[in-house]
Amino acid sequence: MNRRGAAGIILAVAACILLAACQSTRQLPPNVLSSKPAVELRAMQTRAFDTSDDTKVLRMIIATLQDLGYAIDKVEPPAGTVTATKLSVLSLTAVVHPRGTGQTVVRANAMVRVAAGSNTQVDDPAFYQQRFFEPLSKALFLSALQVEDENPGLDEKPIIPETGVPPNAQPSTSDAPSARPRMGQLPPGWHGP
Amino acid sequence: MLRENFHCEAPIRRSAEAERVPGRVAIKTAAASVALSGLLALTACQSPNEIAMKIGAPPDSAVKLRAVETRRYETLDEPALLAAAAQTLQDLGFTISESSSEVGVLVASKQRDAEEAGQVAAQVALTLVALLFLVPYEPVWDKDQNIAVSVVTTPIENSRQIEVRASFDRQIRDTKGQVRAELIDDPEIYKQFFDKLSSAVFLEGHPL
Repeated sequence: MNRRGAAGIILAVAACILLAACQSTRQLPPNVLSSKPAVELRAMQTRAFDTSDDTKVLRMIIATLQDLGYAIDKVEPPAGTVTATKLSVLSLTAVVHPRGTGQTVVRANAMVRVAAGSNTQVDDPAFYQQRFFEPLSKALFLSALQVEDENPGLDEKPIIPETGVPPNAQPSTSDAPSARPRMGQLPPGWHGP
Repeated sequence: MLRENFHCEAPIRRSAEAERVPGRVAIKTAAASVALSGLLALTACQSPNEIAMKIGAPPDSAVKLRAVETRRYETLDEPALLAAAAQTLQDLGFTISESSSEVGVLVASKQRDAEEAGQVAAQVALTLVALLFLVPYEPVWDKDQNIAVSVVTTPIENSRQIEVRASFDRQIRDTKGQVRAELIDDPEIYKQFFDKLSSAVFLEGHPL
């Protein structure tokens, strides 16, 4: 009886070890998002264009992406989104939405595939400016306007001092003569109740 | 053709194999593999932002590519043109994976064999030559491919024309399971597509 019990315990332990060994040790790393503050990311990923025709902007984004060698993956005109991938490595999602009465805002987000099943977010302002917004504004014949942060209150780290200049007012536009920074004008009632 | 291979894997296996080969050949092979791994490490292990900047750059021959990929049709009926493009792609064996007539987009793909007799023969010959010099070499050639196409139609402002741009690209998997992607810039493939599209819409596609 005693020996049987001991054998049972040993068997159970062995089974536990075997089961544990079956667990995948090489789990795929999840998507890695940028560690930069949300305000900074929003500033580099967002531009406004002086047009109210958001369908035209969406069409132009598609044309620009195609011109840059991206293959279109998904388009959703009612939501104003388009996702495209270049050479299976670089994927970019752009979202278009109207702002106020005469402006359309474009936000782009790019991910790079670093290994199978693992993507890393691109957080280089130069990439968004030179590899997306510059070609886009050329296609639209409109300047890409820097958007001032719309609601910093939502951010986890409100780093803009009340009197100071936003730290990312124009970090990415120094090499872009076409982009003229401008203070965004908030539509009335933007801040909500 | 754009060929990119971004994998941060150093070829350790080759140097291990080199130790088994005696004498000078071993040293040479080891030196070669060290040089090779150094080169690979230099090109392969870039930061995601650097990869994005490099991959995101416009294709080298962007203007030429645009001309090859684009035709103009004398029509105002964009949905009909898209429907004709969908039919043409189906005739060519593609499966439609995404379409949005509101913004003139059509995406399709197909899987095909990528084996070419010439490439296989060259690899086998290379293996035999390597065997003569006692250098281990594992032959590798392209096995299959996934061809994808994005068709985008754009009405030309102040005219009665619609521009159709089709971009083909492909992902090729070799016998070792490695995948590489490239844009297809062979004018013959585009000509074949546009010829079929033209006959489908009973209209002549004008090059840019």
